[in-house]
Amino acid sequence: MGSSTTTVVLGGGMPAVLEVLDFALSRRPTVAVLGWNLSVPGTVDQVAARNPDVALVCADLPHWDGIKACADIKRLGTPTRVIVIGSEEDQATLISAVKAGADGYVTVADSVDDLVDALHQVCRGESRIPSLMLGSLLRGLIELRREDDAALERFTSLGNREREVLEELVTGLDNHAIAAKLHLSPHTVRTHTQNILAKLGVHSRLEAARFVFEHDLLSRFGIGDR
Amino acid sequence: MHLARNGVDAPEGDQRRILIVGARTLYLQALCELLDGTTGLCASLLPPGQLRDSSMDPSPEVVLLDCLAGSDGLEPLVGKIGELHTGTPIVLLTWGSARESSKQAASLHAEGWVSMSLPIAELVKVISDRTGRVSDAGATSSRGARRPGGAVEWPLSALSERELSVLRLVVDGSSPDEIATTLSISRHTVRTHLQNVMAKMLVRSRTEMVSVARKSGMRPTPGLPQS
Repeated sequence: MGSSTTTVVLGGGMPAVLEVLDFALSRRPTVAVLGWNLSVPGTVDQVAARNPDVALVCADLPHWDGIKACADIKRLGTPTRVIVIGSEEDQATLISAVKAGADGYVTVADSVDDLVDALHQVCRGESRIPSLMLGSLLRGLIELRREDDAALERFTSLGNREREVLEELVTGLDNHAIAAKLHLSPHTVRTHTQNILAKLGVHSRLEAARFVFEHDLLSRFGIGDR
Repeated sequence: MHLARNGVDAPEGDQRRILIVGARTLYLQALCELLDGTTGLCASLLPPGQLRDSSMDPSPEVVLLDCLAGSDGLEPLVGKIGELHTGTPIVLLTWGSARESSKQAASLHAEGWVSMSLPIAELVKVISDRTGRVSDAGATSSRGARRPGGAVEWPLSALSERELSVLRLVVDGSSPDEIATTLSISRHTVRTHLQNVMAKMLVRSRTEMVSVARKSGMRPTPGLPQS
């Protein structure tokens, strides 16, 4: 092994949970806990400040969004790797964790030594997913991809003008404001909006906006960026 | 509900034993290691499925039961533990607020509860109180001593400041109406406080409340006529 110790910052919503993990990990000679935090922004700040090898975030505790913590830490753009702790049956959390950029997933049914292995493993640049969950994770991701493709297909069926109207609609403008901005009559905008809703297969402007956000059409097509 | 509060007559010198029953191995194993390492309490972890084969001999002093352990309710587990270790108090390990935890513990007739959402020092203190051993972690913690009037014993440590003052007045012999006057709050508020205190202390009456409070170290205010 190269560097001897893996440095860790912990994040989660329950003091006792973090304190016992801190205690158990600190006893292992190959792990050093740099700190822990009870809030998501606090955890992200601590990761930014202390630059640990691994950030370990709980995603199975109530009132604490471990997935957001994971995504925010990844957004820092530092080399810190992220392991998410979740429950064994919770496929949805695993998929969100992977989408949020997690490098590893450890379940609460694992032992402390499993966790230590996982820390070293992601530190070496490998990913760690419980093998029993791999099959359903792949199925879940493929399913997600399929939905995304279908969404994309519907989106590309929009005409140029419709796409422009959608861009404005997503930012929250009403028909009159859109009409003024694009130099169209409110009546035309209404027609465009109706066609957009039909083509996207949604029932309201709000749903249309959600559709755009959910399938990440903003960043993929530069919609709404300004 | 038979209570064995303040088990001070436990023999000295040997290892106090705690059995933790639960499936969240990662957290519970870490908890075992912390209890072993900081308190001298000897803790072992058992998955709920293996409970039937367990023949821990002699019986543990306390069973700490994870409230998420039972896939089909906790009652079967509580029953099984009662069969295997008759008379051993069961403390519920919860992951939520004081209110939810005390409700759950009361409905299972558990001895009490500890929550992972509290600082570990409080949790350790509750557990060591159950086993009659003063722990280093509990004693040295500054976080535990946040209430005025010195350290209060579990189950009193679960009460808020206001609930504690209501309880003190009850111990001093005040009626709910007198408490309302003394604290300048409505009778209705006093009733709510009393209900919450009862839930948190796992008692069913004001009489039992006074008896448990006094056993937990609360003394009547000196100089008052005793009723």
